[in-house]
Amino acid sequence: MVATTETIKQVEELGRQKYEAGFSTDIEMDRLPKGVDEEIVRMISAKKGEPEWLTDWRLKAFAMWKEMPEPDWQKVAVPPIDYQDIYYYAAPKQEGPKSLDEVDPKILETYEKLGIPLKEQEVLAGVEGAPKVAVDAVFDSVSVATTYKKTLEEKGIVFCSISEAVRTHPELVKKYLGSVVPYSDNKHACLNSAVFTDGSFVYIPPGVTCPMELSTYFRINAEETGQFERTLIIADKGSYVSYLEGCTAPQRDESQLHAAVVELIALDDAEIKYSTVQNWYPGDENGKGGIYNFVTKRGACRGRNSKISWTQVETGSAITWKYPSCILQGDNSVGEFYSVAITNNRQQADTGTKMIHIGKNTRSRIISKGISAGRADQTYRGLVRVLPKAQGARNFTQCDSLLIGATCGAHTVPYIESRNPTAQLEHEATTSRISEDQLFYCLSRGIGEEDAVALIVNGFCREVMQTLPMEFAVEAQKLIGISLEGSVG
Amino acid sequence: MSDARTRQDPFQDALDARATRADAIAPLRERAAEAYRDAGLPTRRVERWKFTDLKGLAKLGFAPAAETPAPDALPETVADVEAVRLTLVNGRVAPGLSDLDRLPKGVTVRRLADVLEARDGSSDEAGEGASARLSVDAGFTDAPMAALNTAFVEDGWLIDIADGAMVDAPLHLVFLSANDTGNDTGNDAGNDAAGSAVASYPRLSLHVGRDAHVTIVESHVGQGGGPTFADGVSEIALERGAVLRHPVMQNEEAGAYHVHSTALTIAEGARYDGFVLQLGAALARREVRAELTGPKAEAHVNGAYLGDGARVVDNTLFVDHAAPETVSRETFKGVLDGTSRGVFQAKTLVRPIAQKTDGQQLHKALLLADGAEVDAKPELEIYADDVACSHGATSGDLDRDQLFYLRARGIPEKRARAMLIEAFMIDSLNAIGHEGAREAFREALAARLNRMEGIVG
Repeated sequence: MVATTETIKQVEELGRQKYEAGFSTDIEMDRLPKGVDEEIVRMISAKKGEPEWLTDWRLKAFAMWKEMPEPDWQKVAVPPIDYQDIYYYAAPKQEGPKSLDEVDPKILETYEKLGIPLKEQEVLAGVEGAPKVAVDAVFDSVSVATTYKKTLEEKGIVFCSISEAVRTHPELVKKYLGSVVPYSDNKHACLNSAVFTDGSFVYIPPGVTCPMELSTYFRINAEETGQFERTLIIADKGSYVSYLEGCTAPQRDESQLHAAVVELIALDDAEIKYSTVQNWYPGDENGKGGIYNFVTKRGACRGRNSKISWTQVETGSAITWKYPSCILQGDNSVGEFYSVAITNNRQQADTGTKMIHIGKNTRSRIISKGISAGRADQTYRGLVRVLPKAQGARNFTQCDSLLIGATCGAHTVPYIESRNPTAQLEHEATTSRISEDQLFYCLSRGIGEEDAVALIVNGFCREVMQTLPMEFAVEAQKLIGISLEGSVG
Repeated sequence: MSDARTRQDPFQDALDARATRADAIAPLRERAAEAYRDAGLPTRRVERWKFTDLKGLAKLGFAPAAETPAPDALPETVADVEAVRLTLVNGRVAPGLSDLDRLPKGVTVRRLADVLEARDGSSDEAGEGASARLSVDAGFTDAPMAALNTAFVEDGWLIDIADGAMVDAPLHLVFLSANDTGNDTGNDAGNDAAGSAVASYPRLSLHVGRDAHVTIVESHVGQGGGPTFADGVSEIALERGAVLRHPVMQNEEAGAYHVHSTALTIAEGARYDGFVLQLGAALARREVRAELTGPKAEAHVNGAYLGDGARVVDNTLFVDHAAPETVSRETFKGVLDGTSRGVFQAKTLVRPIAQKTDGQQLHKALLLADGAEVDAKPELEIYADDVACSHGATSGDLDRDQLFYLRARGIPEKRARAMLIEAFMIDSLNAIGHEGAREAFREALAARLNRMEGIVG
């Protein structure tokens, strides 16, 4: 996160030279009209130069999407979505602020607290003229990216955009795309299948341990990743990869609906660690604006002894609807879910996980920490299902909720289904508020109330925070404090 | 709606065919019939019935309601408690099996049929009372089965415990489902619909007055071996400071379908101390809805259940904390063998006003066989911050170390398993506050465990 003034200046200039001209024309040409119909789906596919099978797949998804009802079982109030009022391809940027002076000072304040360099602040705030391939440039990562690319290529790792993978590795994409999240899964995943424009593709060859954390943050081909992002990660036999998604800094985004799909596949002895920090614009104190984050994330532990681990820190979005899950097919496979979800003001979150135990001796662990403040509403919704053949399956679930203030809500809806007598399942959940003793202890030592709350909440979440990669953990801790601002006193 | 229509549903047909009754609750019946027609027999697509399938019930052929003569004696499965007994046979009062002449002081018992028929077109105070005390669905939302009871109810008990009454002798309510149209000997007639089924709609309305203390034991049992369906509703109100101990045993026959909805309102400082022991029936669903309306009200809804064969045992609870400093405790234990299925759904709602709520749920299940299944959904919905709420759920087999310990001491495996299962279950019976009922339930449980094949050698 540390960038010298020099770098910033350099980048600033680079950015101007590179992007000032040509940028808008580019967009003009590539823009499709608002709304979605079969024609739009075909055009998206054509623009990507996709093979026929993929076009057909998209069309099948679209046909089904039209018939599918909106999910209504979640405990969030979703205003009706006008799907025809959305750009599905290369949505032109809305008129952004001209300079940082026009950006909401509250957001700037947050950037400052997170220690984000000035130039990056411009990018995040969507200031006009700020470089488009944001993060790469700001992080001086033109060179970094190249170095990375070389290292990855040497190991045979494929890390590119999914559109590129369709061209370069069609056999892998064809084999795995939609194999964990079929387009018929739910309405949002179905829409994504029909209109996804980009996302990441990762393939780790057998026996390879990926030498660095892969991230959308540093993504080499950082094109505009739209609101319908599609990620596909395949860890071949005996490989390991850790993938980071998102950004701790609050991002302004004009598009309201985000319907992403993430599919993970772990073969024999492979391990995938997927960490997310989600901090999309949550709307203002009165619940105006904000992102609807409807994400379908699912991992399949296909191979023996494979492992998939989800860690998420969810602090943003007006509405979060997200259940990163594991299908434990391979014998001895392991699924993990670590989650911190913070809702403040009028945010709503319905999040949790599913652990489906199919193979023998499969193990899963769920640690969920929910913090609700202001007038927010939050639900943990989880499923642990043990099928008859899952001899010796084991699950441990702990979901704790913390309420800050008397006007918020915290709910727990776990489903526990066991069809095997040798399976051992344990589930526990608690709901409480910040203890006055703890708060008093901090206050009496001269720690301000807000800092004290942040400290206590960080303690409450530490089991989850420990599982985050280092570079994320530090920022995420700060983020927790910031997300809860204004919730006490 | 369309679901309800397309599916085979004997009760829709029965509603269409029924004669209009001009009794005290006629308008209520109409509303209830409408409510059932709208919803239909619940399918697994209805969230609240996700785990329990009534398909088998829909396939039963029901005989036209005929008045069964009350048997001379009650079956052995009735809980053996020293108490004042009140018996319903197929939902109708059996005076010969009821101790109506020796009711304790402070206890008023009326037959619902008397109250309903007294009206018969004329206006009558008792009739007014009945329609005020019964409701369409006992306060359950989306409850077609409770509405079905209201549409068809013929008889039952209206019981009042006077303010301040300390009733020493417990009341024992026996609900008998009798059907001897099946073969008299066979009792594993779960799917044998050779004889036509008998449906009954028992009803209880109970008022416990201010500061009154009373124990009411219930036995739900069967006789005759033919298929039965009991769709019961209990509406219970506890006034300020009242205490009700309410141990309930469901020990119906193997061919029985048993659905019972109990709605409780618990006022300030009152305490409901309930226990549900489920041992029988092909499919049993007991639903309890407790509303804590006054500060410091308490609801204790504990229970235990045992499943073998292909039984389905369902306990569905809802506790609504609508006042500050209220307490709820729900501890359930279940043992499942064969291809049986245990269902535990519990929801605790804490409203914004209910600060300082203390709500705990716990469910523990033992799975003994490969085909057995347990489904638990312990749910919390909390809108107040100063609360201590928790839930826990476990599922697993017997502890191997414990088994090894016993076997190492020369106890054969089957015996050792039986000992451990008994210990697991019996422990939970300690929650029953009334000693006589506790003993009776313990005996019934032990007898039932002894009959379970494959566990005891």
